[in-house]
Amino acid sequence: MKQLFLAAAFCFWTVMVSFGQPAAAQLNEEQVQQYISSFGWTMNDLQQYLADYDMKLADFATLDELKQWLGAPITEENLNELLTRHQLTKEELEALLGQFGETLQDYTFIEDLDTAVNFYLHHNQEMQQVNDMLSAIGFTEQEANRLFEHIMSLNEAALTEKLAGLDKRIEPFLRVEDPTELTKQQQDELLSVWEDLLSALEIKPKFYLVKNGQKQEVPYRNLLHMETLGGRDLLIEMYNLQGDLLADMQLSEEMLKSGYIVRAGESFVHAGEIGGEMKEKMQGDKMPNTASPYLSYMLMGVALTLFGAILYWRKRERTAE
Amino acid sequence: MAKTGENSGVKQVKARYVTYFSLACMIAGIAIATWSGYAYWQGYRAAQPLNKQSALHVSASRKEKAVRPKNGERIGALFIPKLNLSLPIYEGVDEAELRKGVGHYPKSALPGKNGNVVLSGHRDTVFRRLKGVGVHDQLIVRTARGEFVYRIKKVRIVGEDDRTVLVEKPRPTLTVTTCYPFDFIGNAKQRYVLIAELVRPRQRI
Repeated sequence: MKQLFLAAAFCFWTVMVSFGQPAAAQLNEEQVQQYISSFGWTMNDLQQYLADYDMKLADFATLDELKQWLGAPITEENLNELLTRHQLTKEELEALLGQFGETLQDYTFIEDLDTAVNFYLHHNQEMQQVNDMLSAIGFTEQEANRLFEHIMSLNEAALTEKLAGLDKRIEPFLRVEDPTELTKQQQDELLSVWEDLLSALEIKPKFYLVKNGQKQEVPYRNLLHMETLGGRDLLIEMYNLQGDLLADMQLSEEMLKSGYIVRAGESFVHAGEIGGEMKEKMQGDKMPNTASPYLSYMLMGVALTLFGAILYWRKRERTAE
Repeated sequence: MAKTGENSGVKQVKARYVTYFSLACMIAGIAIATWSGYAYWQGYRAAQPLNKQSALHVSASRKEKAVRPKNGERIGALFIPKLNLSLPIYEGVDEAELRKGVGHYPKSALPGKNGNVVLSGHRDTVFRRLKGVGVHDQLIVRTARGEFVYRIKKVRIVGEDDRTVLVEKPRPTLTVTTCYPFDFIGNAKQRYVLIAELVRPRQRI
């Protein structure tokens, strides 16, 4: 009898412990409902959002804990604060999100939006950096865009290593104080860096001497033996391997003797390096063609067979007549 | 007399050519229908019910090395619990891969890694029932590196030239693309896109 009583007491105690504890820690569902409806969510919205992070409502002990975890709902005020921080207008923000297939309505909490904006801005900055470097050399925006697209289209696996090697070779020139005082050997090295750079980027240059708008093509070999341009400018046109003009640059004799050619080379190498890195990422690529032609082909095949068969039987019937 | 003979000779030659031509049509027609039928069936049978899924064949070397898989290599499987479906995933999105199953866009992230994983497939074979899944449904990817659960956040229908789908994403994302409309013979000009995010503890940057 005593044993039975003890067993019953134990059972009662176990039940009390296992049921009693979570009951005490449960958060008030009504309060939660009230809170989430303040930013237009239903209980289902909340549960689905929590499930995205492998969480349940029961994982939270208090409303404050839940609020803390969710973050601040987007309001006019904190949205404006975010826009100021990133120096964006609301239209620019919408355009930025649109570029990545999203809208402002996809976000409920300011922290989530901030994470996304940071990421997308950084991503676009890289592309901007390349364009900035190229325009610093003197390319127009159009030329910079064409060059960038050309670099992105290159199918060269070792491009990054090649460019890193060229970066090292150009470094000593950046420390030269008077670029007019380069030795013959240094000049040759600088030229060969440029040659290797253009060939690594699959750019074919054509050289012209220009005076008073008259341009005359010069073979590269002749150019090497020239001591002076004789008051003429050097025009370099850059083509891709298909022969499309990507960009051109016109250099005066002074520019050639100054440090310009070194700085331009460095910017070009860096632009290529960033471009090479970005090539590994998706840049709003075209979607794969998922149209399956097989069913149409099958129908075509069947139609062709029928056509042949009809022609054959009609011919046979006619010859039999 | 001679004239009619000549005439019937010409007719006979003509008749022979028509016979050859019709036979050629039949042979070519049967060949095309068989070949494309086989190609279609390959994709069709790639979609297996979940319980019948075969064990994943992944070479041991793949597990150790974190190198990019080669084109055409089988890299894992996509499970869609709602449709009770298991689909093989191959590296690459050329016709050779899409014919056999779901293709992984090589420039996109590998499953489970940070970034956007892009999988594409034919709407009439592997993804023929894809319109049956929607927001909050699960998509599970299994590779040699583990099993990753994604939940669909958004369904989009976009033009085939839309450039806002294959983009980098801040959260680990799975993007599934196929052609749209689903029941359409010929080249469908739209794309049906599922955007799902990896279920994992929150990490705000």
